[in-house]
Amino acid sequence: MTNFSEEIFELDTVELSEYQGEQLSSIYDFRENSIRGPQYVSREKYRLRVTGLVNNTYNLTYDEIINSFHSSKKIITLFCVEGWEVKILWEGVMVRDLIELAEPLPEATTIIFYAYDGYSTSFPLECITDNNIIMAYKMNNVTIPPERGFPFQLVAESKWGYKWIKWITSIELSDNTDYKGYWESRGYSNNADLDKGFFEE
Amino acid sequence: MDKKLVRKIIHWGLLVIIIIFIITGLGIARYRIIESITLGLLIKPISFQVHTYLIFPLIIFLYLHILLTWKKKKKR
Repeated sequence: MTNFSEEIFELDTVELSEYQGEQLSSIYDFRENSIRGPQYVSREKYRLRVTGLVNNTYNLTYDEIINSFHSSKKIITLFCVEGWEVKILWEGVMVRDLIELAEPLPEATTIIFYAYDGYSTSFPLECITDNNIIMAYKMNNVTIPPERGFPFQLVAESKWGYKWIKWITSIELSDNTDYKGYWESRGYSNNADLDKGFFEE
Repeated sequence: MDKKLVRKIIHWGLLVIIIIFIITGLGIARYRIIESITLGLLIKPISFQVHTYLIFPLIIFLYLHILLTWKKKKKR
């Protein structure tokens, strides 16, 4: 038999529509409702900064994060307060691993995420560390596109969609339990639990 | 209360509710545009709350509007 080609072609990854028997939404099923529209972050220039009440403040490049930390996959549905939802296979790194590398101080109680467009949101630290929360770089087997949050989107399972911060650029460990992010400071619940209303009572 | 006045209140009230309902609906779905048009006064959470609270009055006013219009037609 004749070999027509010795070359190995790397094909573009194909978006999955199903995973382990579960139907998935498409990555194009999201509604664009970010505060300043889609952001375009340079992969080469990107640095994730982890700072605040930690012993070890650090910056990591996109490739360093992808290659240095164990990745996890999980199908999780994002529920938006506008009434739509998407079921996606998320793949990413555990936020817990990023935090451990930073060696948080005992007084750190809150974790604050900041995004490229100025958006921010926060969580109690144990909410992130106890619940296997991932910072995703792939959705449905494809790298998260810029419109959907490249390089990283937080998969805030069991929280309303406004907690699922996109275009993450930095993580801060803080002792400010009253910190309110973008929508939270405009009246949305800081807890954002799915089984509760999303307005501050 | 004068029946004509009641009808006027219902019809005009419904119109006002519908207009606010549409604006607040846009304030949710197209919040960036509405926030800039209203100079930040009508922000998304406010739109959301007003929009939600208006659902019940909208249904009531719409029902009354249809009822009053239908009754008027019947009289003729």
